[in-house]
Amino acid sequence: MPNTQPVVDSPDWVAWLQKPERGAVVNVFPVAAATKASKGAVLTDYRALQRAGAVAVTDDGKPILGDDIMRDALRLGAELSFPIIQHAEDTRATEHCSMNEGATSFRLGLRGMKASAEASIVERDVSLAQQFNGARLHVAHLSTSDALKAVRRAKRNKTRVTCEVTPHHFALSDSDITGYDTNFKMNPPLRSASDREALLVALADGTVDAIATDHAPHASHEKEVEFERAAFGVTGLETALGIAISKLHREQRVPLSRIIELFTAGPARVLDLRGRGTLVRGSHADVTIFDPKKRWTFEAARSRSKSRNTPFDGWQLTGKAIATIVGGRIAFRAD
Amino acid sequence: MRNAARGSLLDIEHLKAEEIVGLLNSARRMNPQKPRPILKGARVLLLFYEPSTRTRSSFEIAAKSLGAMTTLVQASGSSIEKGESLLDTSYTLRSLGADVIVARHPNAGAPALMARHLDIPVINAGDGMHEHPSQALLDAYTILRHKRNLKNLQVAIIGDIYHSRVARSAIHLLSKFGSRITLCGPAEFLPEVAMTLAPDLHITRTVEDAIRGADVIMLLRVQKERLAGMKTSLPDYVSRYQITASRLKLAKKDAILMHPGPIIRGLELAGEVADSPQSVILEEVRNGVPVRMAILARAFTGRAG
Repeated sequence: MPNTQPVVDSPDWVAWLQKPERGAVVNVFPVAAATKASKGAVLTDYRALQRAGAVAVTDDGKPILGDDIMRDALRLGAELSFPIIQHAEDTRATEHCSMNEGATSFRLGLRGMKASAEASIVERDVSLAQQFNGARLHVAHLSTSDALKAVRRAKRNKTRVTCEVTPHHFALSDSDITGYDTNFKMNPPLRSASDREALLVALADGTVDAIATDHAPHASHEKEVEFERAAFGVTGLETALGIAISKLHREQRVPLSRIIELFTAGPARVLDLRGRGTLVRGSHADVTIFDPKKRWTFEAARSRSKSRNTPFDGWQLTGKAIATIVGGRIAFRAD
Repeated sequence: MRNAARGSLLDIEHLKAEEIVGLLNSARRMNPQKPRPILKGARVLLLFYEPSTRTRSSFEIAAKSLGAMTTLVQASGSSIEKGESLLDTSYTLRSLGADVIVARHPNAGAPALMARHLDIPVINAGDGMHEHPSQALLDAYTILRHKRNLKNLQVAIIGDIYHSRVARSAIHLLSKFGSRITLCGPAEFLPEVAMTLAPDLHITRTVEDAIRGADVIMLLRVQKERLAGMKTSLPDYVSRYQITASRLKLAKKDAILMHPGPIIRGLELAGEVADSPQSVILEEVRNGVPVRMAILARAFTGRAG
């Protein structure tokens, strides 16, 4: 994701991210900025970014609000079969907001983001995408029931709209925020219980294409502050599989095969990653070995991340990755 | 991370009814005119990130009446202006020997954050739009000087409830004791979701309905700037929601009129109403001192009284 300093908005930065000298033990698929410096005004050079190895473009936390620039992005994306990823938030309507609008935000005295601030952007983007044959829109970390409805409509109309959902959005809702714990502050925010229900249904029925973590580590000094001043974002990589198996498979009876698809073939389809997310002969040897029955307790203090900003500290989970093989090499092995 | 130190007062929502009763009983035994130096030598730090007249001076007088020493730290003219974090400021004040910190802050939950990291009691003197527990306690104290008890009392809370920490604390407190609460204001000041704050809350957009038969009318401050971006204009608000002498007549004869201040005559209430015999606005200010004495005494002894 290009929400970095500097913004990854040039082919040079995209190439740099993939350099072997950087020693990544996992595959790196860069997503470049959709507009220069993610300012939402001038499109970046999609053709050059794609040639340099970018798999999609997005302005992530600074969503593209202007209709004209979003239309241009989708049109160009259609020509190149290049996905435009949108963090759907009408930021004009969410200023000073730190959580979802509802009973909990009212009780805590916090300004809340309306669900419509997400849904209105998804609806707008879907209708723009429908104007161009082959346009590809991917809705990042979708969190509301109304936004799901727009994605469902688009899929029925055979528009190439895809979406992802995070483990924290399908495992938690805004009423889980107690004591102004900033480890429950992220954007999009934890939504209402009925939004969460809608996500669970959509994960099971195929409306959702992928589970994505929106992993966002933060230093403690960015989080141990007033809730309204705290950075948005939580970690999620280590807990994703355990949360998915515990919540989706064991509680909701979603078949394991569907959960595997949401972590593998689904995201590979979203980004057109050929020969990935599958075990058929001739594919890349990217394999995660996991034990779907392994019970374990996640402790933030023992996390492999340098950051501790997780809402799942102390959670008992079922399902754990045992080893990860990337390109035929063992990249991770559980203790 | 820890639990708040004993004697902290962070909100009314999580306070048990018997603790509230204990605080009110303790307040009745406090007499600002006859100081009892039960907190002699103690250091009370007043940490104010927002301007305040009555709450600040009330806590200061309360602390001094109990023999404590007070130090005021304000955002302007301190290292807060230089960008020091709330927790670093808190640790600094603790190292200076603070025994209790009374904090007013523009962000909801700021006192709770401090309390989770400090081993001394933290008293919330108003945090953002969240709560203002000492105000709710002094309001209950004031009501009980005029009414036998809070149960079944008909209370109308009128004005900008959405932005009001006073309203949230009052609603939690009165609801714990079985008052019948009606909230009144335009939708921007009173979203429907306000009903979820406590059981059995009623909402009306018609001020006459809220006042009719009320025992207590609680007004909230309305900031002119907030009306600026709203459907309800200032003249609209005044004509629909202002408490006038004729509207006040709809309440019970012995109804009392309350307001946390500062009042704006001619906006949320007519000047004559503010000065009427039913107005207890200045009595609320006066009662703030013994109530805050009780809060401070509880902070040091860990129990009310």
